[in-house]
Amino acid sequence: MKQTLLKVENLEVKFKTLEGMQTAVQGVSFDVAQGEVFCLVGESGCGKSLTSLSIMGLVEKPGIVEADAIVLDGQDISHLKEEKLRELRGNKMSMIFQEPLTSLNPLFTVGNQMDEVFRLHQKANRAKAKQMSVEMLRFVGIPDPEDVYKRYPAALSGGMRQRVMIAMALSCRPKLLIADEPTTALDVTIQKQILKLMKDLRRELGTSIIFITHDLGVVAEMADRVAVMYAGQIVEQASVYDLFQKPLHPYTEGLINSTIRLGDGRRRLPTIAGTVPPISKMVSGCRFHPRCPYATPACRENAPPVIEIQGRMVRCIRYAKEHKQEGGVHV
Amino acid sequence: MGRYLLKRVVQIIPVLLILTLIIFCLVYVAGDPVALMLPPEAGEQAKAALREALGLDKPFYEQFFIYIGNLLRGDFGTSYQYNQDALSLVLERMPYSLQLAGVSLACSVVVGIVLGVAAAHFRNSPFDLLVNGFAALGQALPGFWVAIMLILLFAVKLQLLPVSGSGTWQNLVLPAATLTLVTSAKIIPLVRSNMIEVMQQDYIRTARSKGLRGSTVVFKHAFKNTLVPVITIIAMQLPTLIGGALITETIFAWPGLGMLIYRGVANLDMTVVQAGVMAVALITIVANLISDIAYCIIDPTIKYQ
Amino acid sequence: MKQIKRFFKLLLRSSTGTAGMVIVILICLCAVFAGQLAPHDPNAMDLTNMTKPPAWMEGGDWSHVLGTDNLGRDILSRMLYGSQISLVVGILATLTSGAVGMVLGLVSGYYGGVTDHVIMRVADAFYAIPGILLALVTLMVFKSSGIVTLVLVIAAISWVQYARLIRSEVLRLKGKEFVKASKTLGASSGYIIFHHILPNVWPSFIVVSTMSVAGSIITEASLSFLGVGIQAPLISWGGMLSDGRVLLATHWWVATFPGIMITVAILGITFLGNWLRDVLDPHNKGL
Repeated sequence: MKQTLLKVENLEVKFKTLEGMQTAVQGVSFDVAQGEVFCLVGESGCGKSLTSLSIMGLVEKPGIVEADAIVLDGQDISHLKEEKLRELRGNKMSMIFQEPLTSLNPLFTVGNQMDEVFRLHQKANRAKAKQMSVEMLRFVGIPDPEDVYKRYPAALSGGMRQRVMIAMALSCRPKLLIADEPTTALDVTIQKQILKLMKDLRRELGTSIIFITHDLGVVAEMADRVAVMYAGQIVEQASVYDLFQKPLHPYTEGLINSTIRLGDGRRRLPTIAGTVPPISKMVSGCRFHPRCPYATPACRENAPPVIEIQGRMVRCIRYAKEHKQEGGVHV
Repeated sequence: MGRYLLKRVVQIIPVLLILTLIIFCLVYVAGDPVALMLPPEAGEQAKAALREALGLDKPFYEQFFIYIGNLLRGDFGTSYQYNQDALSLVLERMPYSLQLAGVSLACSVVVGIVLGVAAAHFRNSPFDLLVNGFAALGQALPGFWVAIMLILLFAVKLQLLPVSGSGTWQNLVLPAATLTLVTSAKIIPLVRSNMIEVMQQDYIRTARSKGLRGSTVVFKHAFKNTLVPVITIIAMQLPTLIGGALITETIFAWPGLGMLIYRGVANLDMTVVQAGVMAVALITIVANLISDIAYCIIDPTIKYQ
Repeated sequence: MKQIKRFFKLLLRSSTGTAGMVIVILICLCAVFAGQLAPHDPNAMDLTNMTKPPAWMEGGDWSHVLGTDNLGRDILSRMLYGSQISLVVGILATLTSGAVGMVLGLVSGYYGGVTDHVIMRVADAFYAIPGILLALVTLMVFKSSGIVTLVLVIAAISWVQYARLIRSEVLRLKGKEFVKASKTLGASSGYIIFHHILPNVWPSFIVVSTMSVAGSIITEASLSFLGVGIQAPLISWGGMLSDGRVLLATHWWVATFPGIMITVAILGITFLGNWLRDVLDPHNKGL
């Protein structure tokens, strides 16, 4: 077993709104091992981005983040002051975002924005920062780094900009890289290139990656382990092999069934009926029960416990011991 | 960038022509200045002679071309009221206008940006509410009434500052304060709303995710992105402060361009009026051109459009 | 009916919007019922009651609540009648400049080319002269100061902002898919303008118009203050301020109350305009 790099315990993100406190992320706990690619999967609005932003300490007011612990590399960062957290950001942990087109400041050159990281975290002078930036741009496979260094983001393609973002995020050789849907906005061919780049970089640098996506194809390609999120909770956690082999949670099952597989022929693609409930009108009991094909009256009333089975985790009443005796599912 | 600016410069020529036409029309409508220029006992013959000498007997279009020719030679005519070259009169008053406008604009920009950025940062706080209230009031208060009230308070009641006149810095305080109040009230909400919008952009999140200091994020990454609209409004205010401050200038007896034009038009001394209006319009055009150049420097993407 | 309900529901959610609406309605009422509300004939001079202070001050009484001016005219009555002029001038000037600017902006943006260039250069030329200056010179030169002239002059200095706004909106909309689609289907220019462009231009047009009423009222007051706007026997707030200016040191109320009146009116219209902008036109950032 590899050493744990990040441990998140009981993370909660709340928003103070006119209609009172609303919980967007609830009871989220997971570990990420060193050098591991950990995927957070879920539909949009399920809280996967908020989860990653809370690790970075980037959730903005009126959002409130609470956690029992967020331990990064042996240090609990859940109660760190902004000033201390700032020193970690871009240094020990960094993040890349979904929209490469808008994630770079349009009014500064690529070089200027890259240099900032080196000047801030490594106290490099102007010349040294430039040298390191160009080096980093070359490292992520940009063909003419000196030229790109001088360019404004508007002059670069989406794939190029995402490479720049990755270069910037990896500048200080972070232990943890959070990638929030980094390929969603890109063309399929560019997507493949970026995914390959990230895999290569992980091998070379040993960086742990939290990869956020809604695309199970990407999950299958990238992940070591997967957490499936639904309506602000992690409903299932397993290794990528186990998850695709035998999904436990009905939601995961639905997700996997609704993806096209080779050789499926003309079969009509099944979908999960219904939509995610909005956080302001959260349902009682299991949050998935209105859409769950296996729902029982008990699901409507009691929130399901998190159950550990064979090193996997699932939030579903069907795997509870007492339930099993009444004819539940056997694993 | 070069082509963009060249296009802007070329556009100025027709604007100047139309401007000249507008001003000339006003002068033409103002009517015959001969009666004002000659002593009342002058006979018809003398009047006709003067008319001919001034070219006033010629048709409209011919007068217009002569007028343009004169302007191109820098001849704006002679003010009968001051018996002085109109251009030199304008140039004499210009420093006063520039001084008042410069001080007011500088104060307004500082106040506007500081309060606007701060209000955006502490948005929906009591401070933000206060700043918004100040801005709303500043936009609603008529400048001339503010001027009068300032005189009543600081010059009449407290006797801290002179009522009117020019020459010392004390004379500058009240008119500049009046203009600053009115102008900064226009800048504050603009800075605030732009700042709020920019702070929600993805690149701000990127900047924060790099671990940059809050001040670097706000003043480097966010502020530069709010500059284009801010410069636009500053360029819009400059002409209003130079020629449009005539009421403030009149109330405080500040001998700027606005007052010169006001007096000129009141006495139908149209040579002064046209020279003054032309000067103000030129300043406006130059200010706009400078702001265009500033856009190009701030926003490199203009080049790619 | 449903829309009116929705309108008020949205309005009541914003405190400044509600305040603005209340002020605007009150001023409209003042203007309409000035004849009934005014305690005195606004132009009646009363030489026995000159520069009488407001009722709550020493020497004041309730027959002249806000006091009288140097000719013994009742200030409250004059302010009520003054709201008529302010509103009439403000609204008429806005309608005129809005109509002119709208047409020119549509033509300029939609047809482009030489037409666009000519209109925009004329707009630039007008824009280069500060509005108040142009208005002052024009009024003096034409030696006329009726309401109609005043409205026309204020419209002449404010059509540019409409023309520019509408033009940029049209240019933005012209690039949109639904307009392109309509064109491919063979729709006429008139159809596209009336069915696709105008409905999308309305929101920002209404917002700018509201603000423009406030601007026109200030311009009217400024011109009247300079003595080139509304002339007696018509009453304008700016004119009242101008009358009271010389009395400032000794009889502050003569100039103060009309000033407060202008401020409150502008504040109300601005609040209403800001609220309208938030509701109708969330992209406009208040330029």
